[in-house]
Amino acid sequence: MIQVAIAGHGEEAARWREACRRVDGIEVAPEAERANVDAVILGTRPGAGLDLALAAARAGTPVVTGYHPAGSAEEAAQLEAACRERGASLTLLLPERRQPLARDVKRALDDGKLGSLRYAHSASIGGLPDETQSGSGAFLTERATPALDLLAWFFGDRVVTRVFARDCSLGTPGESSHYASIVLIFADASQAVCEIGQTAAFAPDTGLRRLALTGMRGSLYHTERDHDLVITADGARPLFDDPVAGYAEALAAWTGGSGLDAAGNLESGKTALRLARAAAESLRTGQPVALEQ
Amino acid sequence: MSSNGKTLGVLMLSAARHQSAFARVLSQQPDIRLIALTDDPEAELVPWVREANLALAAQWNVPYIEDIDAALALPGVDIVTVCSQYFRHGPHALKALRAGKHVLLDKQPMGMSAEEGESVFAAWQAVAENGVQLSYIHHVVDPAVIRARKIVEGGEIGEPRAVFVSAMVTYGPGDEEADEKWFRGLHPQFWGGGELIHHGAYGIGVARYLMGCEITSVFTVAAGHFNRIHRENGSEDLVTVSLGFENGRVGTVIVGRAPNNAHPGYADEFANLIGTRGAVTADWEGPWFLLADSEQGLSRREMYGRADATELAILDFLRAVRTGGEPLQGPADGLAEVRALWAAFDSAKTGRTVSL
Repeated sequence: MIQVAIAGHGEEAARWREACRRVDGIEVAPEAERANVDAVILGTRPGAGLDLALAAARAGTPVVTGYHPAGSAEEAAQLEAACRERGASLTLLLPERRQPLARDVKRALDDGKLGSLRYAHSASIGGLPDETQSGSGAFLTERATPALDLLAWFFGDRVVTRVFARDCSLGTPGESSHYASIVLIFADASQAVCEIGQTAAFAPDTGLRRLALTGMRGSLYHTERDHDLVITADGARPLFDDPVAGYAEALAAWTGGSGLDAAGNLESGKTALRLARAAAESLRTGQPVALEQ
Repeated sequence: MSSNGKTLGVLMLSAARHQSAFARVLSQQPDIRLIALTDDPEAELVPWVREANLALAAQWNVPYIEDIDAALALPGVDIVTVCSQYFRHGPHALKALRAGKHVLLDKQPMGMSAEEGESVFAAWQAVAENGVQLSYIHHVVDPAVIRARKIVEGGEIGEPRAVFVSAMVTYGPGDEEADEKWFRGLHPQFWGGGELIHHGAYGIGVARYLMGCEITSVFTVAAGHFNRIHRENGSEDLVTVSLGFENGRVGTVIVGRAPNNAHPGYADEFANLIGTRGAVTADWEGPWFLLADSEQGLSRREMYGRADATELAILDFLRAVRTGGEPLQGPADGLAEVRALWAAFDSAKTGRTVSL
């Protein structure tokens, strides 16, 4: 039995807690026994939870997280150094890759059903999360990182050379309703657009979601209309895929010791962080940002 | 100035593109008479354009006049439908406007630069008090787009803040060597560019219309991927246009041509508009039903409810001519779109954001 502690609170921590419940061989340690766990799972959003990760690493405890907890390249280096010094591992599980849709889209791509991918659009605009951050930099890192990782994953070995982003508020000043459109430009001029948003105008369990991919051979489209619907006197809303499914799959791969490319995931996580940071820089300058290769 | 119920005479100017569709729609109107087809002299024309002119004139049993000024002076000409190559849109529109005629362009651009667009706008302004109309084929007239705009005007989604528009068509030559039809229709030597010039203004126009405010900056990336004719000639068939609007609002427009015989529609064309109180989507390839045709072995989206944008835009223009009212997209809209379009070209060349 692997004993884990879940650090952090809120929606992300709740997802990991539920995921642990679903996977055989993992037990969430009671509060009193957290000092002797086999690993700490960061229940924090991407780009958040660095302090928790550092604390675990400095205690020599392996750190497991969905996406990189660092908010910058410098923070990432700091965490990796701390892990090295104490021999603690840092494992990124990238749970959104394990969601059924993402997994099967990737399989279709790898099977060549779309040919060489040249264009992708991903949109995920939903209600406000239970934890909110201010400042578009944190918004981008928290909300865009998983989507950016998916897009980079779909494009495989192709390298992003430039990033351009715009953002705007979706609500009144002081509200955390926010939106961003991030354009990824690849070395071969393939293009991807990542739209992310959170708005008080949407109920928590609704959203505007879309995934469209176009390759040299074919296209693939998925929208929230493709989900089941529940329709009542209050309106209609889609029944989205179980958001915890990918987290549970990722944990199972981690505990099973196979199906997890730890080194690859860490590099991917740093790439996604780099893309999010480039988008933030583009917002600041109003110009595209070239990525060092 | 309205037409007061009189018959309106139409002079067709060039059959380089889509004039046959114009002729079909116009000929169905009881108060419209096709008078002639005209174009620049033979020496100034690409041979296939002249051939198309002759063929269309014969089809509609109208004279073909190789002198535009003489054709404009024909009695009974009220309207000129300009369907020449884009680089001739500006000069042709100027001639027709200065002759006091109503002008309907086959799509944007109304000029091959912002400056030329401004000249056309100024020429219209000079005759506007006489009730002269100027418009162009656009997709704002699509029922789904109009419906989305009504939602905005009704306040249902609050203030529009962000828009995403896809204008990606799914027909084209692809990797095959372009046949005569595609060579004439797409080769950049005839049109001055690729899909950004063919369809960019459609997407930009819909975005601007739904947002209800002006574009202030443009960033664009463009490349040729899906069609050999674009790849080999340095023109683009995948374009991402990122728009900044007044009041900090944001838009993204995707324009492209990714041929796919299996696609259930002619295009992936839609808009998502997000406001402060909600969101609305508009599939401007619709309304449609899905037709599963076992004989053809594929499914297609079939539009219904008279959703042909070309026809609807022509009818809207005729309404403006007849009543003296304003077309849905008029000269000021055309100018704003053309400015954004050429800013997009500049941005694609320089790799930098361009401010308007």
